[in-house]
Amino acid sequence: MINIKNLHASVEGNEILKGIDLRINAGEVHAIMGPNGSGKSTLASVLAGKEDYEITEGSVSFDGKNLLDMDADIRAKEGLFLAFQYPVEIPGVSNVNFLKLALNEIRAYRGQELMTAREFLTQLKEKSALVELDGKLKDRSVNEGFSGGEKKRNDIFQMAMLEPRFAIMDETDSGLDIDALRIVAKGVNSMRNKDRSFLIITHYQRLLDYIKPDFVHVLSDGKIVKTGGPELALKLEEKGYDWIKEEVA
Amino acid sequence: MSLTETVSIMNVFEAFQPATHSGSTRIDKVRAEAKAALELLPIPGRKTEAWKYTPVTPLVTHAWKPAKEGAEVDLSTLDIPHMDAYRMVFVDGYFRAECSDEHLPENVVLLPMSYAKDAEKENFDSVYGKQADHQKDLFIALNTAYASNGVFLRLKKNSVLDKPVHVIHVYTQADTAVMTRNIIIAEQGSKGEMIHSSIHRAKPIHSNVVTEVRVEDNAHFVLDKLQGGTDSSFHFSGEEVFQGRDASTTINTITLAGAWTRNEPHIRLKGSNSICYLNGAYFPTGKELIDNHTVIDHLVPHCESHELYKGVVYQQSKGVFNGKVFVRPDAQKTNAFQQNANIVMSEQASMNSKPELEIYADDVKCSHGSTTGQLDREALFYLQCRGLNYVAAKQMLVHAFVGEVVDRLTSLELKEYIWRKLEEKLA
Ligand SMILES: Nc1ncnc2c1ncn2[C@@H]1O[C@H](COP(=O)(O)OP(=O)(O)OP(=O)(O)O)[C@@H](O)[C@H]1O
Ligand SMILES: [Mg+2]
Repeated sequence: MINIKNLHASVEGNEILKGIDLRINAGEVHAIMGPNGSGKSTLASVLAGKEDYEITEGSVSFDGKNLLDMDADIRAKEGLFLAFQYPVEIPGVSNVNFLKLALNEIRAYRGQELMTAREFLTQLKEKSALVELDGKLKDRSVNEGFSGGEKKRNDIFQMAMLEPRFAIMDETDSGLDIDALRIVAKGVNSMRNKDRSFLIITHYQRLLDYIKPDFVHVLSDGKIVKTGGPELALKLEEKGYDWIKEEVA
Repeated sequence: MSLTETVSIMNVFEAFQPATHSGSTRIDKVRAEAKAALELLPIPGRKTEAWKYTPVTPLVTHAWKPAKEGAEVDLSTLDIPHMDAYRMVFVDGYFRAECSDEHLPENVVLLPMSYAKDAEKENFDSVYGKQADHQKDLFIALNTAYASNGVFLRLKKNSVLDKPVHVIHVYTQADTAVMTRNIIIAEQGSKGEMIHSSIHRAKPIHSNVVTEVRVEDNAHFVLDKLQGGTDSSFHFSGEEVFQGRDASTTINTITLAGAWTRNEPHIRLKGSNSICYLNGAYFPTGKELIDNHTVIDHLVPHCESHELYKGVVYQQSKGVFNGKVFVRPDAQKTNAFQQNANIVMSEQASMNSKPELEIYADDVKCSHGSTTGQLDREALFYLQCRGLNYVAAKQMLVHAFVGEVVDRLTSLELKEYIWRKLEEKLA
């Protein structure tokens, strides 16, 4: 599905990603953990197509296509989704209107038929029920005045609507109460299938209790320094990152 | 051609000498006064504060000609689709009866000025040249000296206009200057709306519209100005409003295009417990210049004014906003709010925004804010990440930004028309 090779990225001359190698196959769920500032969100942004970063080395292929050559919207149209660590508020842009436009642009790109208003409404109902998003939130401006948890839920709701093939979730669990966490996990799990992959960035083992990853990676100082199974997350929760740093040193 | 002190505006407009007798002593009188004023009024330059960012050179030096009557024009392309309105059409300043609606409700008088000066003599004379100051303001003087025609609208006492009046001005002849003069009288207790479209179809063109509006006690009037010029059109628009007690006035100014546009709404709140709204949206592109100079004058207690102007300034274009609010010594308990917000889309684009509050009363609530920034890049990225292409995402954000102003218009058809025009322009 996605193959990241020796990826280096800098911002304003500072190298933040220092050679990332990561391969995620269709149907797999990978988790990335790592200390604050290690580059997790940077990796997510670079994959999603944010232009602030300069890619100095390496490559990323997405189903055989060169991901780094694509504009952010093309990546979305190809099936990539990023749930943001800090979803922005966009006053004046209605959640529903923009989703409808996005969905139809994506469908047009994929050569699918455009959604009828009726189909869209059905989807809207179904998917917002899935993440138990308060009906009123859909009709408001994107994230405007939403609580931290509501913003995260809105992102997952959008993911459910857009049905990506590869979803990156950047600390979707932070700021969620226990119930919301379960709901979000339920949403993700219901979308899991053999063709769809996830990259889950988190600081807490707790989320991984709900969404069982196939692999857990540790990102530290711009590199993946350790990879293991779900048990690695448990160990990190218990011991922190110091032992890995020592191991690496 | 460079501007020198010796250039007389009279030379430029020499060919415009109207027939000495208009048939109206009122018109003849103010015309003569305006011409005398033109001889003396200095041409504003960069040192004139009110014109610092807006050079007037092309307007007063180009060899403008008067327009001829009878130009062919395809009206179907001028109307606002599906707009249900009483229509009145002027082509190059000339009234076109055959394109205008004849049948109006009984309690409304809608006439070209050329008829109204006789048919509505008393009302006409009570307003014409009484609210607009042709002694002090160059462009008003110019208008008063050479105005050919315009619209006269009178809403009779306690009447409610069931649908808007739509005045369409289309300008079709290159190198012409057209001065238009309007009178609006909303009598006591009346209610109505007028849409005023200025559409330029040739270039260069110089158009100047001055509207004197009297909103009487307990009357409510809305004026929507739709300005769609060309990259070589020069358009001045001044509204001189006298507003009575318990009344409301709204002026919405939507400037879609135009090489040079200057708006000067001037509201005088003369009766207490009155409220006025000035809303504006502007989208200069290329090398366009759009200047909104507003004046709200609180003369009496217990009035409110609300001003919201929003603009998106593209490429090498310029935007200017100057919002003057006077709160006179008697105007206690005034509430005055003013907000100007701008997005500058390129490094070559510029925006000059200046609130000017002059407050001479102590028990008042006045606030003003002015912001000029760039498009929110994080928001842009968010929308792109959800699959919207760059242009669509940008448009969506622009739409959201100015939507706050456009949504204040009441007519759905008008709003849709504005969005469509904007999309065409920014595509
Ligand atoms: N646009 C930017 N400009 C300057 N520095 C940046 C930029 N983006 C990221 N950085 C820096 O890169 C480093 C990695 O940041 P990143 O947000 O990727 O960390 P993270 O692993 O997601 O941390 P956290 O766990 O706190 O979310 C940080 O030191 C950050 O300050
Ligand atoms: Mg982060």
